[in-house]
Amino acid sequence: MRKGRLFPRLLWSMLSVGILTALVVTVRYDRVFTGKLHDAFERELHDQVLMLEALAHETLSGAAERADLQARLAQLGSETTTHYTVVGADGWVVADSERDPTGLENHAQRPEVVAARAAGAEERDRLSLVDALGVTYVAKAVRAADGTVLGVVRTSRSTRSLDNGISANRRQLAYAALVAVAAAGLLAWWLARGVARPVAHLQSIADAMARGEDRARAALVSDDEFGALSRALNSMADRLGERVEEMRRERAKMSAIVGSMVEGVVAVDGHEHVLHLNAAASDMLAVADADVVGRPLIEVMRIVDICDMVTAVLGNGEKTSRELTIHKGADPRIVQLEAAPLRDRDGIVNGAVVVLHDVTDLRRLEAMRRDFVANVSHELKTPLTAIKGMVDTMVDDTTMPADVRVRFLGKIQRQCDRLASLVTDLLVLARIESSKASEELLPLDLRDPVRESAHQLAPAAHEKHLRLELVLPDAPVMVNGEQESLRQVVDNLLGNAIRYTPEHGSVTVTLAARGHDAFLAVRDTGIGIEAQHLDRIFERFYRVDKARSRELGGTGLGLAIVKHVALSHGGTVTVQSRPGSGSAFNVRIPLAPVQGGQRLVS
Amino acid sequence: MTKHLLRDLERLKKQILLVGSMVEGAIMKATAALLERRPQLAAEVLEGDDAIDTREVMVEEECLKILALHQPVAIDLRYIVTALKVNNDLERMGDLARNIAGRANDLLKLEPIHMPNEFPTMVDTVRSMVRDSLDALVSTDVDLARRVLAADDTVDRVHRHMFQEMQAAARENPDRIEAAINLLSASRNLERIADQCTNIAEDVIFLVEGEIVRHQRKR
Repeated sequence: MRKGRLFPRLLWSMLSVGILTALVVTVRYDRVFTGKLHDAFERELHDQVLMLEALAHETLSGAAERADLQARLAQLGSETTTHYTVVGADGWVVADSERDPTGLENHAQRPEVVAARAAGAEERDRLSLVDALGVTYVAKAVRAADGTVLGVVRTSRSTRSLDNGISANRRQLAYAALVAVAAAGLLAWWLARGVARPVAHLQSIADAMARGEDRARAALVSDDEFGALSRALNSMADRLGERVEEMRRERAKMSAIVGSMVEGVVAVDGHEHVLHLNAAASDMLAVADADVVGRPLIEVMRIVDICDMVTAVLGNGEKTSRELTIHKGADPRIVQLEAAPLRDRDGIVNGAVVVLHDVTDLRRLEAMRRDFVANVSHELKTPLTAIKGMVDTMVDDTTMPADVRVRFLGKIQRQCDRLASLVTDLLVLARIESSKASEELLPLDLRDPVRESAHQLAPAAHEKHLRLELVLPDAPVMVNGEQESLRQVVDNLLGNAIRYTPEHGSVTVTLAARGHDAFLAVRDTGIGIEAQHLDRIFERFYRVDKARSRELGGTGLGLAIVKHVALSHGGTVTVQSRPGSGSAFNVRIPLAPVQGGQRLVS
Repeated sequence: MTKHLLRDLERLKKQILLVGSMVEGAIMKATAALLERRPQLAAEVLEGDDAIDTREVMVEEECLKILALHQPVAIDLRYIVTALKVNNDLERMGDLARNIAGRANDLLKLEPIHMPNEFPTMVDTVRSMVRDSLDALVSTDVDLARRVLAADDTVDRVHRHMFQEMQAAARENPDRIEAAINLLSASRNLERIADQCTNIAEDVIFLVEGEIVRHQRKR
């Protein structure tokens, strides 16, 4: 809407009504007044002609002198503006108020005279009125008692005075009309402004509201429709403000919820431009930029499979889900994707939302469980197969020589030992996992299990010509623990160290108490472990080299037990290793709490 | 007219990014297959190369169509020319990724060979060069493009070192010569991927500044 059209429109319509009224009144009044002036003018001439008739009757009937009449007329003529003429029956002028009658021509053929004569006896009072050359003539026949025409009397007057009167009147009228129109204009301007200004005010307020200035309020206080409209506008703005505020709160709530979700959420519009991408999603997809809204999805994350999924969903409007490995950032992540269409009110697909669920840990656990079952079965089956094979042979071969039988029995014994140690390890693991650890923990000196274990394994080290070194503190290292489990830890670590260290190497066991913790370190100069295995060697049955481990008599559970025992004692276990230069396992276990402010060290 | 051009350019951008993403993914998988000895990833890369080639042809057709239909000038023309060149580079990078996957497959059939410690670092550098060159293309970021150019020197140096290492390994252990050659070949392919990244970075600089920085370095 163009600004300020209402005001001129109102102004002009009111003004034109005023002008039209003034025009009609003026014209009408002019007509009436002009008519009235004419009537008065003529009536005067009539009156005068009747007077003249009375005056001229005597003279025309011969009762008085012509000269007297002439004198009277001359006097009358000088006193009034009317021209008096008395014409005899023969048409010659008898007397005239302005000129000498003798010098005048015959008036018999003058139209007013002819008309006056023709009026006839019955119409004695009939006057003739003739306008000629700006002069109005009124004539009347003067009749004797018997009806014969004695003569004609005539009065005449120039119409200039009448015209002057009319035009003077018109000037007055025009002046009055102008004043009226001017007054109407002022009034119209005032009235139009009175209507247009509130409308313009309301419009500007409505515009401000539309622009989002939620503080804009109409400031009209009146009882008319404008006041009501402005109050309605204000209450609408209030309601609108409340709704906007409500939506803002709702939106903040939603974005807080979506933002703190563990699942990644990505929403795109129909053109595959990002509408929303929460923190979890940007983390999973390694999106570096903070400002992604409105940019094409492919630009934001460059993962073809997700983009293809979104394109498919936008195309056919069907939900899809798939699992995807994302090679971004340091570690590949396995992500479960669910893509669903977003529809508008008419059910037309105008966007898509993708929910990302990080299942990396879940898949790893699943893989671990699968591996565990497969491993346990395999580990149990291998010795059983060997035992069964040898037993079968011995049963079938009744003539088996005694020395072969003894060798076979020895092998069976070794396989049985392996099975037994495997089952023992499994039981130990199960016990550690299921026990409510802290209940069974008692204070003990950590040096004891270390000494016992070293004593027990010394022959094995000696056999490989290894230097076994124990570095123990002089004071007891008191921890809350379970003797048997802790001995198992030292056994396993020391056993591994001896097993994987080539001949003439060295193994060092160090025990120390620092701060609130006891530290047990087992170092060797063995073959070491490659970096990619370090994360997994504490898993059950995980072996760097399966064949070698089994050959050396390992169950694949040793380090798993170490880790579980350390955890159940509230400690940790770590490993440092370089291939070729040996490994170092460090177990940290918290020292026993102090009694009476003194640690049980001395 | 302009509106159509804009729409077509938008589509071209999307398509070239699709190719870029696929190549990026292929390189990530191929290097992971190499480092972590995962045959499945190598197989995925070998399978995916045909898709990259198909998309590359589509991008080229799109470029030619825009050139013929709209006859763009100035920045738009530079964009199309850049797209054509980047497209070519990307296709080449896809082939190199396939080569690496092939080498990873060959290495899988052999006993694991000891990798020099710099090699994983080199892989990381190349990976981030690929990512950065594509990011520079997306955001037309000249500074990032120049960083990609700078990173190439590191990769060249590691590759030269790899050459010596593998030579030594082969001399020491003649029966491991096959593995050494395969690893060296993978390193060579990585080094060439890095070179292609610098090409893309140079194209980005050309796109933004209209200046051809090729053949200007190190002189």
